[in-house]
Amino acid sequence: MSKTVPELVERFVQGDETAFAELVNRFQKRIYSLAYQMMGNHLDADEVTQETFVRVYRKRKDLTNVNYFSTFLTRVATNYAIDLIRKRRGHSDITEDATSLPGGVQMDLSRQNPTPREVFENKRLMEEINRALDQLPPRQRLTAIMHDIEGYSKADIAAVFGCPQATVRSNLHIARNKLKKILRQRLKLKEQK
Amino acid sequence: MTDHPASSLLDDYLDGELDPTTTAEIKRHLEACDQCRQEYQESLNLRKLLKHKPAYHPGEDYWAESARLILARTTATGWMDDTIGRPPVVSEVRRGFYTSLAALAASVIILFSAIYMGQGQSAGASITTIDGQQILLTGALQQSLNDDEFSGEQTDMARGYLLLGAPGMHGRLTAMRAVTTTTTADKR
Repeated sequence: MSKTVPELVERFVQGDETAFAELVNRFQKRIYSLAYQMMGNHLDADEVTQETFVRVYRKRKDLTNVNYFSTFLTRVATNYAIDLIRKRRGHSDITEDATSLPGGVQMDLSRQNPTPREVFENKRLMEEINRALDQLPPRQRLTAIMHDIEGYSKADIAAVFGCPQATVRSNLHIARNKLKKILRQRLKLKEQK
Repeated sequence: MTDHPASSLLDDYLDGELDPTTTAEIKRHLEACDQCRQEYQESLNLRKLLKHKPAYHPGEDYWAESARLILARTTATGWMDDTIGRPPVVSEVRRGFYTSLAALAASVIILFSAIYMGQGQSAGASITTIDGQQILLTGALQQSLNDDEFSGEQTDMARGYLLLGAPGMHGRLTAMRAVTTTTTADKR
């Protein structure tokens, strides 16, 4: 019978390395997915994922409440990502073309068999969205990504950032308005069906 | 609702976070107000766009490798498999075992190489070059020289490279010249 996350976390904090290995297996996809959306390329997402787990391992004594492991993990990941985004500013030409990445790339598009023209249009659209997100301050960008792309609740985001939900709501609202303004000019958002 | 709702309220409506009464009021207002309906439609479109933002799914191999690297950088058991970053921490006994194993493997390779070369020389023969030097041929080269299927200067050059018993670069070049000369003489 598989152990629950709190059970695994408790054993991990006590020094059980197999419990840590199991936690890595259970959470690495989630952290990578968030990191990829935040960083926009595989290499940085990989770095964020690796560093997150290494830092969590080293800070395991700080895990006072085993029920907040996921929040703790996400907080470490977002803090590292924010640092990396700030470091990468000025070197933002590293964004990869997701369709050209090696090994099992799948793009979550609405249609399973898009025409070549639709593929081209989707690719152009994604580039526009990435550029728009890049123009937001890191905290607003993360809030928009976590809520509108990754599906985190406002309460979860508030726990990760250690701020009131009202702050998340405000950040999200500002981020959306900025995105609408940027994308309205570039994509003629009003004409979309 | 007579006044336009705040745009943050429209966001909450979009996220489904309003109570039923306010939700009904906003809905009625949107049906009547073009300006707010347009703003709401833009928010709706933006959310659709973001939802369609592609995710990248590396193959299954990536997850195994990623986990291995994380464990290699953290846990003591992970160090044993680490090939990247810091060197693995191994005990003196284990280090001695690995050294002995490497020495044994090297000895076996040298022994088999010597046997192979010895066989090549005994199975082959020697040829005399145009300047009178005796060159030992391996069995493979001897067989190649006797095979009528091969011909042409380039093939002869390739045969020359098979020579293992020749003394250094000078010997190999001499042997190649000898082979070429032999083949040319045969053709005449």
